Amino acid sequence: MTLDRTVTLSATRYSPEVDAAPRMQAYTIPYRDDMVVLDALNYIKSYVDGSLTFRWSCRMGICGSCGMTVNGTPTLTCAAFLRDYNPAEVIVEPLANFPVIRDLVIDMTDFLHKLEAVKPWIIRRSEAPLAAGTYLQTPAELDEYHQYSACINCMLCYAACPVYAMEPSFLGPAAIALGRRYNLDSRDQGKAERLKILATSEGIWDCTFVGECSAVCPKSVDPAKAIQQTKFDRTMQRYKEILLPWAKQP
Amino acid sequence: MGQTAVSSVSATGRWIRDIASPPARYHSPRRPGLPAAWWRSNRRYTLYMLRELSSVTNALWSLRLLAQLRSLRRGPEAYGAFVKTQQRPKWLVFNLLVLGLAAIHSVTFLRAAGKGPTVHVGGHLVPERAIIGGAFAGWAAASQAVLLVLLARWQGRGAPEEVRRDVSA
Repeated sequence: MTLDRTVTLSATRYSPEVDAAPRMQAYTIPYRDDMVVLDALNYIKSYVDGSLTFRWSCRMGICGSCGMTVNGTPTLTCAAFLRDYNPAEVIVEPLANFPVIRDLVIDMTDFLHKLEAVKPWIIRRSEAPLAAGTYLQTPAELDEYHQYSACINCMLCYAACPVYAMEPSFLGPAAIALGRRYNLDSRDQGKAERLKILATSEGIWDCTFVGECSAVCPKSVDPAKAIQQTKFDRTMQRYKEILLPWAKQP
Repeated sequence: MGQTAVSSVSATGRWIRDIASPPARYHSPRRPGLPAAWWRSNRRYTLYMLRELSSVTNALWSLRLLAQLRSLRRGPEAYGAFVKTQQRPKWLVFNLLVLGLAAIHSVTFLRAAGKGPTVHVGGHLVPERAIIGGAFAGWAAASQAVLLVLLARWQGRGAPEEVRRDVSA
């Protein structure tokens, strides 16, 4: 790459074998208008410092692997153009609120266990026979949950959530949004099971509605909406249980 | 590396966080807790904190309203004394502060209206923007109605002489 212009990018470095705490390291590299932050990191890895460690995979905003904190904001680095920060220095740090394994790589174990806890799959009490064909949905039924199904598990919402920072037991935005996604699916029958996880003090009731999770979501999933709607549904359900105890509950 | 994380749900169905600390060699620079100035790091965090703070000032103003009602119940002299107290600079500053924060509370609350239950009209999902627009339109209409009622009353016999003069002029 032979380019006249350069950009300075500072990245968090942390090697558990050597460092007592993370430190910043600055790199000055060639710059092009169509470069994203991930391109810059890959340039450093390939030509400047092969020890710089970070996650990435698809390079097109699908896999959710390359989420990092860029100039203080949780961002998918494959979608963050250097020109949007230029001429300011670009500062790349690991996602906040997660333990750091090395450099820009965080430990996602906590998130994965929370995700699994909300059972993000279709639950059926009874399966229709194969001869009956597929479970059909109307466009309106699809609309109910469609936006929540776009989550790519990038964890930017967890890094942006001050509640998760203060209360690590909080189930978190993405897990709740995924839980709601399946609760709204007309083919699903596992709502009651999921509400045991979602409608708890560590679930929806821990959320104070900061809303930053939705602001940073690269796929416009709107976890804040999922949480507030689940709160509303749960409250209505509770009133029905009290006022109409004989009525059938979901 | 030693997998140490476990999650489970108790017999009563409560989510249990039972995740052991990450291996010692993982660095946990920001867990648990936040820096004291976290809410100044972006505008949305700041607006959120102002929204929360406005609940406190709104509650304080409600206490002030109760005091006003109590003085009204005690008669014209007590109410006059209360009104005189409210004309002091510190009370004017307090009332202006409450008004400003109440406006922030209202705006942030109405902007959140779109996060409420989904609304369908004619089988179609109403977009969030339309719900928020409707909420603001309702707010504006209600404010205008209150203003018109107040003006009508001021122009009638209930208004002080100087106010009636101002409105007629």
